[in-house]
Amino acid sequence: MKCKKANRWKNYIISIAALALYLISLNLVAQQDAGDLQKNLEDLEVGSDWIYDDLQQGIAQAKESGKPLFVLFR
Amino acid sequence: MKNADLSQFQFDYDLTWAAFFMNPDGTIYGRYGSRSVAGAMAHNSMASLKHAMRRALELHQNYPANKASLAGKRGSEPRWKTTLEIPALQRQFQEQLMKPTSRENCIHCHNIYDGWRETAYDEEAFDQDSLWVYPMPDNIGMQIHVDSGNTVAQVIEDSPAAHAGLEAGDVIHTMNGQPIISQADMQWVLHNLPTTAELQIEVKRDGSPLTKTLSLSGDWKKSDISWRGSMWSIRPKLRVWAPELSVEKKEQLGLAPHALALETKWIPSQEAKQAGLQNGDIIVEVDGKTEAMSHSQLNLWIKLNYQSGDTLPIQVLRENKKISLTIPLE
Repeated sequence: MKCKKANRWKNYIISIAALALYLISLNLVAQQDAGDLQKNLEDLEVGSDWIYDDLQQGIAQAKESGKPLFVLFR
Repeated sequence: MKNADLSQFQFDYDLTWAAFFMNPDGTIYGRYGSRSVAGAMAHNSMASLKHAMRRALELHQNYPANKASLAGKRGSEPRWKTTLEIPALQRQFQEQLMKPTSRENCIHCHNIYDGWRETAYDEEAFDQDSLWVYPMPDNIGMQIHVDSGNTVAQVIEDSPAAHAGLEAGDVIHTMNGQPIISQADMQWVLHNLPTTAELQIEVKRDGSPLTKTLSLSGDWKKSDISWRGSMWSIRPKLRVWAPELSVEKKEQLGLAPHALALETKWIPSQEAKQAGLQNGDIIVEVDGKTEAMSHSQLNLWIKLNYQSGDTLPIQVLRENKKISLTIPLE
């Protein structure tokens, strides 16, 4: 259910999305590449124009574009 | 949720999914994503997400002129700013933090409630009132049309909403001054109210603005929370897995459709095993209660009415005989 629904939601989200946030790695924890994190969590259908696991990049992009942020947790 | 900023991202941590609409300066335009005992997606829809997005964009267009009305959408500073600062979670996840995050060791949203609760137990500060979080608008008598996300579908008779004169078709614009883009926004306002409070709602009725004031008191924050993932961390714990029998199976055992009948399938609790409970036992009475309940509802009822160390008298059906047992609660 998750993947099919995620795709449908995504189509709408992209129009104003600056950011999709699932998890943020910490210096305190094991360093992990966002791609590996995505693979480990089986988030394989995240849109290519979404920002994954990087709030700061999302904020920077939102400031530059003048668009609001859409931050998603699940 | 390992490093999410809990002063920024405050929402109902038992969730299907949750979204924030934000200005990059941290101002929150609104929240989206609601869940209740009615079902994982009972309050969410593509249409209401689209409406919420449009309303968020309108707020963004009017920013910063509307900044003051949005201030209440950020919560007060939490005691712990990230999940890893919550003492009980620090203890629980300490060994796992050096491993790459996977489904097995990530800190889920509901773990935040678990961590707060476990820490409160450790500090002997647990307060049962802390369980009644993010009440739905239904709790004050407003059933919201799911696809609109902000239109009253029905007003419940004799409720605070009915007494205040709200009507089906009213479009909710603000609650206590905060612009409302979704049911999750309504839940945020209700969550932050004290139990006894006045709630001012600005609505549009047939295009005309109206303000209604609701008087809230008593148990309005309480509801069936047996669906919550974090419910299982509430003490005491029975630690017996016993799903409800189907109506057909109840009939085969000579039980009424509305009778309590939970089939014991798994007993992690050593105390329950030692008390004589066996896999296959059908639990038909719990401290005098014989009406049908799901496994989750039984557990919630126990958690709300007993303490750790209490004992629970039950009756089970085993090979067509009723047997009385006394189960210690952890």
